[in-house]
Amino acid sequence: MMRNEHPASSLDFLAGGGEMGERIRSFDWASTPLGPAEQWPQSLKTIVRIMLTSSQPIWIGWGPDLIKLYNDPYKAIVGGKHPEALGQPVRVVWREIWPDIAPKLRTAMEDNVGTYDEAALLIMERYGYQEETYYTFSYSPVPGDNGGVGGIICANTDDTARIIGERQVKLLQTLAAETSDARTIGEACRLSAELLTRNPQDIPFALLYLLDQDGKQMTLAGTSGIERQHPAVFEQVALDQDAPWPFAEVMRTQKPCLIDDIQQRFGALPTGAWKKMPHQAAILAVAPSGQTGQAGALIVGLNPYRLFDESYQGFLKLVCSQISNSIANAQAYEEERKRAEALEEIDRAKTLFFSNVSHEFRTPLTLMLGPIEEIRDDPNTAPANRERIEVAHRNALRLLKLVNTLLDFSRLEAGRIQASYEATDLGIYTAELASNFRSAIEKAGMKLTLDLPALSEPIYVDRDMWEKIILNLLSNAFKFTFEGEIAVRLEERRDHVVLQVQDTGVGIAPDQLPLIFERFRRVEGVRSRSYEGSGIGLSLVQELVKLHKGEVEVTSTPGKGTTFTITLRKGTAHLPADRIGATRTLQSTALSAAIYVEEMSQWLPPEEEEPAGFPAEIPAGDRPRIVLADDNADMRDYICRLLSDRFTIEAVANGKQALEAIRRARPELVLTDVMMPEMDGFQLLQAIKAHPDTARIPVIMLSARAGEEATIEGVRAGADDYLVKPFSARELRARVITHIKLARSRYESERKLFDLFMQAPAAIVILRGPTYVVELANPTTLAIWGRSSEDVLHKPLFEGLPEVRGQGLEPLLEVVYTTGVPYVGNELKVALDRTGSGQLEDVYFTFVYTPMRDAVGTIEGVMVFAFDVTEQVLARQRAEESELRFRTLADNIPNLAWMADRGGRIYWYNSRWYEYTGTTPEQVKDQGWEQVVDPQDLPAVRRRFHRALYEHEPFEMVYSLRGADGTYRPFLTRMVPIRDAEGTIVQWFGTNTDITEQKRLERQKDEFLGIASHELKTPVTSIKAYTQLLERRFRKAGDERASELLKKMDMQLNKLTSLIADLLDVTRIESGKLLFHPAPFDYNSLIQEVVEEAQRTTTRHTILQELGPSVTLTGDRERIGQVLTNLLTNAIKYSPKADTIYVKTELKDNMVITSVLDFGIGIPAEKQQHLFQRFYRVEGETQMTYPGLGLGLYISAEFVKRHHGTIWVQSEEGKGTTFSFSLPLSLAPEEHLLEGEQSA
Amino acid sequence: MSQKKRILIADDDPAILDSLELILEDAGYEVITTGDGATIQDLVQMKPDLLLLDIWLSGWNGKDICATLKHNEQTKHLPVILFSASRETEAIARDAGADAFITKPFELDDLLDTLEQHL
Repeated sequence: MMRNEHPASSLDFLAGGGEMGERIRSFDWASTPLGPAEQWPQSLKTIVRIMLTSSQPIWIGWGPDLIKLYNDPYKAIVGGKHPEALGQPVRVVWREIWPDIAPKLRTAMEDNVGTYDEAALLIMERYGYQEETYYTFSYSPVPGDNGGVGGIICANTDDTARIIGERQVKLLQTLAAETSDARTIGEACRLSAELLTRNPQDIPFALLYLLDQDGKQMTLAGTSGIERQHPAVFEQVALDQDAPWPFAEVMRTQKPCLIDDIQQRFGALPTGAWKKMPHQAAILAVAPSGQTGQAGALIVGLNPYRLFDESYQGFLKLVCSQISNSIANAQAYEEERKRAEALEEIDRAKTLFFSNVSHEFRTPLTLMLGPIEEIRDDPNTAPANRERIEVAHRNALRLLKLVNTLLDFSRLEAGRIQASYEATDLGIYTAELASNFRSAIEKAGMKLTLDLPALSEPIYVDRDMWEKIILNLLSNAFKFTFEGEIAVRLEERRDHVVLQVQDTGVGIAPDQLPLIFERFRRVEGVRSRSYEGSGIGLSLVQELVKLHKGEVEVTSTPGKGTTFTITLRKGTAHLPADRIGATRTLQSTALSAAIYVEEMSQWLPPEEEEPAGFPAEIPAGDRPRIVLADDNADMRDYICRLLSDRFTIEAVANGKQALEAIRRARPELVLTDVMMPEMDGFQLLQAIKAHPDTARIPVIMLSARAGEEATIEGVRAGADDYLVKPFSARELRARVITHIKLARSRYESERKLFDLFMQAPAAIVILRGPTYVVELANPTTLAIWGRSSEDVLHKPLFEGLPEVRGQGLEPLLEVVYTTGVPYVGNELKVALDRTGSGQLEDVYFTFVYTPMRDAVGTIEGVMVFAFDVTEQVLARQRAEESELRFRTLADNIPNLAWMADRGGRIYWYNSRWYEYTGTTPEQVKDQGWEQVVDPQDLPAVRRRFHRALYEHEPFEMVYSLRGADGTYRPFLTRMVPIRDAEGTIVQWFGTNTDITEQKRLERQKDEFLGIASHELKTPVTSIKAYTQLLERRFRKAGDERASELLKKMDMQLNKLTSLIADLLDVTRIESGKLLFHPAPFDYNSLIQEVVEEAQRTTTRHTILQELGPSVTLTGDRERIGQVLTNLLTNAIKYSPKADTIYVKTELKDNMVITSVLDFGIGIPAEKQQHLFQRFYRVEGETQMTYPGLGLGLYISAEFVKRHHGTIWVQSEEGKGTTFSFSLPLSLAPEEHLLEGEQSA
Repeated sequence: MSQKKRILIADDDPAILDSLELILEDAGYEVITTGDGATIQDLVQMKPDLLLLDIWLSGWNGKDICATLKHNEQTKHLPVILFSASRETEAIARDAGADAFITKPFELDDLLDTLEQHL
């Protein structure tokens, strides 16, 4: 870092600062009032420094003239005035805004108060034109060196873009929001133009023009900020001229056009928000939306203080776009409205037309009827002719009715009908009208129910109108009802009556319901007796009801029925007073009910007697559906009439329509002509037979071609029957019925079979043909295959299940298919891709392939019946595996091992077993193991083995098995049950462990013990002998003390002897060598003996006896004595602080109970259970507190047990202990003292 | 006769022999001891008045000797007392014809009493 070290370094403050820094440094300040820079006041230097180092636009004005200095960021603000602005007085620099800023500067300079202005509008002129700018700036006074304000420092922020942007966005939003309600184009334009006045800054004034339809002119549609009368405003401007406004270019290119000379052209113009007039205007295109959109243009007088730059243009374009949108919306509305108007217009026209037509019709019809009736009524008319005349008459009437209805309607519309309301007994009148229909209804096999009770008052109706209402409703009901009933009901309410016409007909679909009363509305696609009808009847009904100020409603359930409900008010208050009881204007145009009924009867089939022997009827009430295709309408009618009493016929004109009808709803029979346009009979037949869904529908062909060939051709083509025209009605009916019945029964049985298939829990598949096309696969099959029916149905088997190829099924199927020999497969494994992921899963099947034969016996397919046995197979495999594992394990253990089934039959031995016993499987099967068991042990073994099996308990026993060398060795045998998941025993697992060694060791131990104790006794004997000898000698010699000592020694030797004896006894007990020598003896005397002996061992205690009467016991006297001794010794030992011990006996339940009580330390409860265990000793403070081997109680317990007695203890710690044992007084003959039994 | 009675003691253990000798001599008997090796003949030739034999002797069997003596006309009048460390063998002793049976270790008084009884 180098520092300029020259003495007057006062220009350091001008260092840096970029361009301005440089300029300031090199400026000749001396020529300004500021003087040379070096001599500037410190405060000025300071603020200049601040300015130069700031990145905010800053200028400084110093001195009374406010000489201007500024920094680099400020350059943009001075714009074109840079660099001249430097060093000039502010007044000069900013002369154009001087009036605006002077007061603020004065405030700062003179009043020493800082100013702050936010987004202030300043019309600057820094680039040679006036500019709208907004700045946020502050003037801060800076003190001079000699007091007072030296100058100001100003920081600036350019807010122009923000301010302008905000207002523009606001306008656009407003345009979008507030023009959405405009309903016409004109309104849209007006509204838009109006809204433009909300931004008078950017749009001082504007004119909106629309292009005329002819494309030659623009017509004014809206003005903004300018009067319509203004000279610049023209209502229409031709496109081909440039004056006054050059639209053509703009409309053609859709690009804006700038006009500079508007002031010259138009003189004074509105200024909008400014004081200055715009000197430029722009024409921008308002784009049409779509092909038919309305095009326009917007003329905008431009902000004089802005350049028409991209930003300004962009904004105006957006404005035009908004306007375009609102025009488009309004246009859409307009079009919609026009459409609605057009429709109304059409409707009106139609009505008018009908009115004319019907009028014109009536005349000739009426003129016709007369003569027709004459001929009909003339008795001379030939019967054949009469028939024909009848037909003519009927048709004429029908036509007349139709015309009348139309006429009525149109007159209603024109308001030329006026009702004449008369008091009427509505119930009776309605019944009269309705009963005209009775015979027709009943002839059709239906019921007419009239529930028309007398009302409490007459109802005011126009009689003719009411007639029309009832007749129309009933006629309608009849037309759409084929079975069940038609009911007419009248119900009285408080102030109105309700009439209902209810039928059990085909009903009306919910979506049709709201339209039912519409004029010319006929219900589509619904079964009805006749397709005739103009659809006007219900509409008329509605109008007539309305004339009565009533209401009519309809409710319906398709397939169930329809109900029309009319509500009429009682009384006359609701009716026009002048029409009550007035004479009728409605000419009785209706030849009343007669016409209706006549028409209806036409819909009934001709009455023909069905001949006897007719093929079995299709059940009444059943209406099979037939599709009839014939291009001749008369023929269609004729056939329909013939069959429509029992069948529902859908009649179409050609094969194509027939197919559609068939596909829509499957018929039970198809009647078709042969010659028809678009698709003839044979083609139709082919199409029907080709598709599996329709192939079964019987098809009867009707043809004009006679002769055998035609018949054969028809049948060969697959037709079920062939009728040649003309055919008798009877013939047709018979064949139709027959074929339908046939098809039904076939279908029934197929259905039953199908149901069976579908519900079977096994997989059933029907394969047809040599490629085994899957004709049927029941749900179980699909589930197993993991496929949907689309995947496999109607495809060859191996196409639907490609992964099954090559798994061996093809040859099996082949054999069945070719030889007709069924195949039974058991647990065949097939790999299937059940999840569609390519992963194959193994499935096991047990299945049958059966050949299927056709009527002549040829094999035409294979039926598969299969069970998925995967689970069983896997389970079995698992079981086998685990058994194998078991066996492997068992083979490798050193023990002999074997497995038995639930019943205990051993079915497997491990190899060691065979090795040891030297046997073969042959030899030991069927419980052959018994051979190798030591015969001595065998009975006990058998007994305990079976007990284990029976009680489901593990078995454990030691017995000897014979080895291959013939010697018997002891084995510890264990057998445990193996259970399954539910806990049931499935097999037994056993081992035999050679314990010879073990036994030998035990024996050695025993021997050792035996020897040891023997060895111990020997020296004890001599020691004792010496001791006693010495004791005598010393006594003789008079040495009392010595003699006493020796006596003590002797006592100890006794103890030692006793211990040794115990040890010996234990050994014997353990090795089962303890022998008892039972003999009867007197118990009490034994007790006394023992007590005496024991008393001799203690001076501290007194042993007291509380004996019951004595008994004679049979037992080993010595051993029992040992028990008593043991208990007494214990009592003495464990009551060091007490001084009394009791011995008691008690007789109870054939037992003598002996108790030894002490008042010693007691035994804690938890230790009591261990007392009688071998080696168990009561702990004292030290190991030797209570000496002894701990064998005494164990031995005593054994002895008592062997005598069939029990021994127990009662004790409380710190209080004392009572040991008790019981001995039976006599033993049952079979009981004997228990021998030692081996326990493993 | 006021001559001292001669008692023959036979046992494996020298200590027992020695202590018994002292005891019996103190009690006024004449004592002959023999350990092992001696035959029955030898024993008889020593002319004892009573034999005190351990039931299990190494070499020869106390109970067999007893049985032999008891079966012999000439010797069956001789009182034989068998003793043993084990109580269990009492039956065996009786079977062998012993006049009495004493368990080791014995009480001096008991022994002396028994001896007196059978002399």
